[in-house]
Amino acid sequence: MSAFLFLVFFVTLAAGLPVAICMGAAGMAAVLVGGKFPALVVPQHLFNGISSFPLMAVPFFVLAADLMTASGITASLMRFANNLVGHIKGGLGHVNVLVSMLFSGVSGSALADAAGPGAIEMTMMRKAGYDKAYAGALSATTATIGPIIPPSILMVVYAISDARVTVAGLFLAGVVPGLLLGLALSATNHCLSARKGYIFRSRRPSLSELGKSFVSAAPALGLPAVIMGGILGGIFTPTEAAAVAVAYSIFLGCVVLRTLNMRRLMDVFIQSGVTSAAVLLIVSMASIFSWLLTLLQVPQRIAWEISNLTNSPAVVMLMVAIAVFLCGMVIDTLPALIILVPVLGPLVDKFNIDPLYFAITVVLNLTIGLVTPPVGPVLFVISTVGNIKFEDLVKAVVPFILAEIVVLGLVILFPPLSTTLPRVLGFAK
Amino acid sequence: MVVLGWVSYRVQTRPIGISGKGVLGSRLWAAKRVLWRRELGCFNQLSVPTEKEVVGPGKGVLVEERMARSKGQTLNAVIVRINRWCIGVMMCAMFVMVFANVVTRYCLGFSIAAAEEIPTFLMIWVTYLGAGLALREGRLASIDVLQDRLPTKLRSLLRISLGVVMGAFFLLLSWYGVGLVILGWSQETFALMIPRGIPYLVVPIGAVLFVVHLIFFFRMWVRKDWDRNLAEVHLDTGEINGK
Repeated sequence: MSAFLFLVFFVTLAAGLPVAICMGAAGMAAVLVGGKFPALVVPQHLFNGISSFPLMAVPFFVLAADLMTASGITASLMRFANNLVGHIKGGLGHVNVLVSMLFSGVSGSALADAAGPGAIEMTMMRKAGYDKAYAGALSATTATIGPIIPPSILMVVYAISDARVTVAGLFLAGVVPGLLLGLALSATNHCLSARKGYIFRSRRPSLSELGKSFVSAAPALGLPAVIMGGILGGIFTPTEAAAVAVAYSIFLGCVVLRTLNMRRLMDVFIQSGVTSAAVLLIVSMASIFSWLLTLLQVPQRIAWEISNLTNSPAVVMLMVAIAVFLCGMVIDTLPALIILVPVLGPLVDKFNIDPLYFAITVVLNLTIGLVTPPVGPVLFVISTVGNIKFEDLVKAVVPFILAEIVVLGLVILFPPLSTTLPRVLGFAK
Repeated sequence: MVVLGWVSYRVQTRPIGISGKGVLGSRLWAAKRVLWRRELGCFNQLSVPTEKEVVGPGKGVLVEERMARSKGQTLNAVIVRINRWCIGVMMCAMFVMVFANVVTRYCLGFSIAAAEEIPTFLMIWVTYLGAGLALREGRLASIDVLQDRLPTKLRSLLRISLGVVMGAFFLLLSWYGVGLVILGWSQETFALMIPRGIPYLVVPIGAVLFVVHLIFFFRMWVRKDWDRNLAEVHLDTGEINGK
């Protein structure tokens, strides 16, 4: 039965069947062939796997980000970022990083960032004289900051598959690594710009210009404050906070900026519905797959094998990091997360690792996988949108991936980087 | 199954080339550029990107033509439109209920248990009813690195068989889904006290809907020719309304 599960999964995966359906088909095939369970368990798990109120934060965060983009607030974020850092050497590159960090406080997903602000940033960098592939590579890597800085869809799903961590704790734990990631990418951009001779910069803005652009960007900057404040203050659950974020964006778009009307609102609802369907279908199909994995005791066996090899948590973390990195290279982030969390979970207990620290290293590691070939969803988006050859993009993205790996190494080596903030605010033991 | 796949591949012979003039598209784009210019005027040494630079040559026209195509009165277009409308209404209802629950709890001091259960069920309905649309728009992520290395003929053959596998899986799922509905009819849900079979209905309905979408979309699935229109159109119209 387990052989059949893996056989069907890997064959269909390699052939190019959508990942969600690979997991569902493998699960169904294993149940039918195994004959131990009635086939009804398949639809039942598919249904119950996403029958969860906390999970509803996912469609709402998608909706909030789409509404923000549709109401045109992204442009004012960009203007603010340009006024803030545009006059530094390698200016537009830094603007790119900063916009992604600001936008990730609104959206929960890297793909939204790559397709929205990422595409516009890339085009502007190119017009300013940056190399096509360089601009694309920077936009792609900055988009991966999105899932690390809260709110984050990946973290919501993580907290649902692992009862040891809470969404609030994960969000807080992601703040410092997210800032580090931004700094590292900015530094890389600075060095490369200097070497390649990208000295273009904007004129230094006057204080009143800076103030004006801040005022117009303030509504967008207020959103992360509403979300995080509400969750941390114990006022909302993450799902409710996401719903409030949606209400806030609708209010902003319809009343303050007047860029949204009823028809357009409906369009955004539909579009985010389809996006969420794609995400939740993966979660749903993965639930039958991971149920079978647990039933076959695969996680326990792996934990046991590893504990035979070593008993040092540091070595385990290193092994996990390498394994997760390799997985992230070939599998899409979300399915990799859902498959890996139950498999790696027993290790946390066995080696007494802080679950929050473990979670952040896994999430950070997998988001790097968004821009690593051969399967880098963000790279695909950027290469399609920007008309850049995939190979060129891959070459240009290497230094940025190295910078991200350095940050990952730091986060793994120094657990306080991720665990201090949640501990101080009382969201972790 | 394989025969069925071939037949539906052959039958769908509608031409889908890049033709026709992008009248509406270019008007939208012009408005968008005006808006961008105003918004991004601060980027001194830069000018606002043109349509070709962002969308890529030719693609803007393709979007435009697809928009026209989806406006047709074919069965295909009607199904897509009704399906999209359902998704939109359900998302909307989901949001309204959860938000209303937050408001009543903090302002009036009570909350409604059903306002947690209904949105949860709605989310599952959105997922399964939206799966077919997600397939059409190419949003179901897959690993195509290996199949892209195959020669064209072999690759189409592989994609045809993958489509058939997908169809078979969802047909089986709908069959067992019916079983689940029958089983669930005698149990009651937690808050609403309705038969569990009612929310379960989405599994068979969604699976059959996915197969219907797959059949209509089969030719384009084989070519990997996604229905990207919807996303891009909705980004465009807003800029006009935003004036």
